Order: sequence, then C-alpha cells, then structure tokens
Amino acid sequence: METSDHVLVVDDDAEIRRLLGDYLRKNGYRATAVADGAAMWAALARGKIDLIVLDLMLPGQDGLSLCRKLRAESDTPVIMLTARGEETDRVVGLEMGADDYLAKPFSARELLARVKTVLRRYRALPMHLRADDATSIRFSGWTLDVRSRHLVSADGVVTPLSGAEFQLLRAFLSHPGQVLSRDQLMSFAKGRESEPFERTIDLRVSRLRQRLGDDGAEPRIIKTVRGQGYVLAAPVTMER
Amino acid sequence: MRLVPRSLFGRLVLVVLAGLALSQLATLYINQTERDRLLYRAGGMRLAQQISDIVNLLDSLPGAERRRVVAVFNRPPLAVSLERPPLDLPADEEESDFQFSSFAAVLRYTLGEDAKIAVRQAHPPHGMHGERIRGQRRGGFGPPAFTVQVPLHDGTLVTFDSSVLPPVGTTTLRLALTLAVLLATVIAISLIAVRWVTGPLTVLADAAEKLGENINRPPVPETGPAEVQRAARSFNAMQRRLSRSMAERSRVLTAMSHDLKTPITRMRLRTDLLEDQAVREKFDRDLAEMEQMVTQTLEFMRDATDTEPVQRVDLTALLESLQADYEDMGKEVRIAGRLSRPLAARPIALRRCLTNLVDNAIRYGARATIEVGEDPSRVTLRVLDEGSGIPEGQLERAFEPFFRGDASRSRETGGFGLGLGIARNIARAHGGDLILKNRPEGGLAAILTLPHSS
Repeated sequence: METSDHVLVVDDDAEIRRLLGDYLRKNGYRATAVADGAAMWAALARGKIDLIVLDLMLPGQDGLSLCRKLRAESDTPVIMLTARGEETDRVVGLEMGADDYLAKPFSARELLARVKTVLRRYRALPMHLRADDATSIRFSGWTLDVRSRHLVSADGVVTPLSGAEFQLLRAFLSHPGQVLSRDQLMSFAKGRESEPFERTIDLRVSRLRQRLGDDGAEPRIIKTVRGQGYVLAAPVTMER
Repeated sequence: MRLVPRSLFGRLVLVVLAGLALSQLATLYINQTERDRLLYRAGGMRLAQQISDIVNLLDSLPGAERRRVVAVFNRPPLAVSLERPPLDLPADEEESDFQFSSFAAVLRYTLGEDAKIAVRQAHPPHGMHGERIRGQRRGGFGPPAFTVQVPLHDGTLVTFDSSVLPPVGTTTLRLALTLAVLLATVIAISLIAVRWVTGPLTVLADAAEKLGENINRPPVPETGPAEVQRAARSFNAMQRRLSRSMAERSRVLTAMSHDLKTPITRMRLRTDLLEDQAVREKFDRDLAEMEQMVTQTLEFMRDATDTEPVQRVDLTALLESLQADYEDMGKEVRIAGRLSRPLAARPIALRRCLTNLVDNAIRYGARATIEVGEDPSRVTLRVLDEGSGIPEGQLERAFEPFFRGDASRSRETGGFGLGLGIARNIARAHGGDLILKNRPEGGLAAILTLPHSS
C-alpha cells in the first residue's frame, strides 16, 4: 500500500474535493485538490503530478478542453469525472485524451481502484488509448464503431462486444503490428477488485478471435507470438 | 353478413357504384326508347313504300301473273295474299296509336288519298295476344305488326300481313355484356378513385398507430383532399404539442435527477470514510438505492429521445458478449438456442433491455438463463430466473416505476425500479413486447418478443 504517487483532484465542489483528498491520503497517496483549471495549471507547475482526477463540469474552462490542452504538453494520465454518465461523455472524454472515466455518483473505493489501474496501465504501456480520436476503425473487413462499442461486419451486421473484448480490441487497434505482452494487455483491462490473470487474457483473446471469425488454429488477424504475447497483423484505417 | 361495409373505402365504392349503375340504367332505358321510336318510324316508311310498290305492280298485271308475283313476294316478314276476306275494322283502333296512324298516313299518301285502304294492327303470332305494338317491342325492335288490305282496280283485295321478326336472341346477351363491361369499368375506376381519396386517411391512421412507438416520428405529409389535409395538420400539431410537453417534463425530471448526483457522491465519499462498518454498510445500501433511482430515471428519460438507428444485429454475439460481461463480474448467464439470421434492432437499446432483464433475474434468482426462439416473423427471448416469482396479481404492476410488491423482498433488493419499464419501452419501440410470467417449475420468465421480418 506504500506509494508516494501524487494525485491532483480538480473539482469545483469543495466537499467532494476535501473528501477525495482525505480518502486518497488515507490510502497512502499524496493528494492535492484544486477548484478549477487555473489552479490545476498552477499545481502542475509546482511539482510532479502522477495522475489527475478531472471533473468534466468546471466553471470557466471545462474538463474536456483542459484535458485536450494538457495532452498537448504532457502524458500525465487523467481520470475524468462526469455527472452525465452517458456513452457519449465517455467517448468524448477518451477522445480528448482521458485514460478512464467515472460517472457520478461513484464511491471512493471505485475511484481508488481506477486510480490504481490507470497508473499500472500507464506504467506498463505509456501510451494513451486516445492515440487516435477515431470514431470508427477499419481492419480486415471489420469496422469497429467506437461510440457504440460494437463491430460491424463487411455486410453491415452489428456484432456486439463485451466490455473486456472491446478494450482488448481497442488496445490491439491502437498498436497495430506491435507485439503486446500479456502484462500490457492486462493493464488495459480495467478490473475493480478482481485482477485479470494471464489465463484470462488468453481466454479473452480466443473469444475475440471467435468474434472476428479468426480461426483459432491458424489466426490471421490476431497472431500469437510465442513467449511474447499477441500482435494485430492487419492494416488499420482510422476514420473520424 | 353486413349490408353496409365497415370501411370508408367499401362504403364509397358502394355509393359510387350504386349511383353509376342507376344512371347507366336510366340512360340505357332512354336510349332504347328513342331508338325504338326511330326504328319503328323508319321501318314503317320502308314497309309502306314496299306495299305500295307491290300494289302498283299487281295492279298492272293480269290475274294469272298476279299469283306468280304474289308467290315471289310472299315471304317473311311480309305475307301477301289475294284470297283473304275483307277486314272488319274496329273504328276506335285506328287512332289508338300515333305511330300506327302515322304509318297508315304514309301508306295512304303513297297509294293515293282515294284508295280504300284498310289497315289494322295485327294480333301478333305465337300467343303474344293483345300486346300489340307496344308489347311487341319487347321481343325485337322494328316495324309494327299489322294487316293491310288494298283493293286493286278490278276489286281484288290484296292483303298484307306484316309479321314481327322473331326476337333476335343475341340482343339480350349483348345488352347484358354491355352492362357487364360498363359495370366492370365503373368498379375499376371507382376502386382507383376511392383509393386515391382514402389513401391519405390510411397514411394518417398508420401515423397515429406508429406514434405510440415513436413520439418524434416525422410529421405526416399534409396532402390529399382538403378534409384530410386538415386532419393531417391537426394531427401534426397534436404530435408537436405532445412531444413538447413530454420534452418539458423530461427536462425537469432529468435536471432533478442530475442535480441529485453531486449530493449522492458527497454522501458516498463521506460514507467511505466512516470507521463503523455496520453503519457504513447501511449507508451504502441506501445510497445504492438512491443512485439506482437517479441513474434509472436518467436512462428512462434518455430512451424517450433515443435516435439510435435500426441495424442488423448478430443476436448470438450480443448474448455472448452479455454473458462474458456477467462472467467478468462473477455472475452466471446461460444461453440456449440461436438465431439463423441477423435481427433488425437498435443494438445498444436492445442490449440495455436484455441487461435489465438479466440483472433482475440474477438479483432474484442468482443466475439467468436466456432461451432464444425463432419463427418466420418473430423472435422470442425468454429470460428465466430461479427465484420465487411474483404473485400472479402483481405481474403487470411490476412494470410500474419503482413498484414494490412484497415488502420483505423489496427491503432486501430495492424492487424492480425502472428496469422493467425501460425494458418494455425498448421492446415496444421495436414493435415487440415484454411480459412476465411465473414458470410452472418455479421462478420468473421475462418473455421478450421482437418482430423478425425477412
């Protein structure tokens, strides 16, 4: 539990700010809580911040534009807090470069779990899912509809994905031709209490292959790299 | 059988048809009468001419020659004879008929005014006794039947019997045929015409029916006859008002639910800092319930304005992805059966619908089983649980917002909330439905039917 990771909380609600700060500190983090964008920039200038918890609805500059601006100059992972909790917020948040999002009302334990996951993922693979702000991604005859989080086949049939399958596929599509280790893939899987095991990753990959109609014995889309992990062996086209 | 058709279409066809048939018959009658009159007159003239020619010819011949000539002329429709006794003429009959008298007049004119001509309307042959001219017309249209007697200069009486030609059999058939063709034409035209008039009404009726599925559907075209246009305009105005008032209420409810999120978040965070675990758990439960209300209300509101397009969906993939999501949360969902072809649906809405049903099944019965059934026009998804079911009388009430049946159960589980209502709305927006049934083997079945057009 010992960690000196520094979390910056940006929320205009004083009570939430205070409570989050207390809870994070109680759980071994260093925490700074500020009310708006200006204070956020000031805090970032003062010292090293490992992760930012950013409220979407802020007076003045809102969370999305702050996040976009932040991405222009730093890789610091961001967890977006949103009161709307709709798919569009989530997608927009991720497009603007947030690493994860949490819908209000959330519990402190949930936030803590997300903070841990995002930090772990960031360290395993310092690349953000935003790498692309695509709304649809094409590869080997399939189209991934990022907003609706489902696949569309060449003949227009919607093939829904489970949350884990979507995340896994998203990770592959963000890194085509790049071998991803099981560790790296695991870091993309957002667990709450339960952490995914290596075997779980293998199971998910095989499910994803099945979903893609990729032959498990001789896969052509997601290939197994012996002793290293998996690689997406298909050209990828991003569409905005 | 009803005498008056139910549909406006049927009624209009009936009215148009009856009117046209009547006017056709009237026209036919008038035409026929007029034709008879003309034929009668023309026929009479020709006959009078013929008779006077024969008389003049016979007059110039000696007796022996006359018989030969008579034999030549004596053939239907004009019988000529030299051996008939003088006619006895009833005085009144001569003037009885205008047509007849004009025939006699023509005859007198061609044979000379002083000729002693006896003309009598004949009793028609073949038992059409007493019908005389007017009656004979029924059988055929042509010159009248009569007997004419003219004395030659030597006193011999020549008698002419004009018989009516036997009725032409094809005339009635032709008439019937003409009428049938007319009727068929009239029916065809009135069918088209009435469709044309009532078509916009059908559009309006369809629109009213579909309004239940989607309050924000595009307005009906304001075309067609003036009355229908007015109805369409009123309908569109009504739809606008309905949708405005619904939007207004949604906005209020959404804003309220939305604003509740921040206080609930504060309370949750505060609760997480509580040392006393028993108290914390109680707070957690209450907060979870409040949160459920807020999020479900927002979800419910969002559905009303949802504009997700209908797409072809691989239902098996949808169910399996759902199953995988539950598995990741440590919950068991079983799937039985699969579809032979993709289902036309709104994938995200359908997923939410099924998630709500599976959530309920897991909450009340630990695990859920989804049975997939398919027939040519319908897909049936049965989400089964292994819980204790719902009392029969409350099955329908479970769809009411935040309905709580059995008090002891709802304390544990928080009731169904809006989940079932949302699921049913989604089913109905797809043109399907959702019902609940207690299973004979125990537990509840949520039966979702969706149209499955080919």
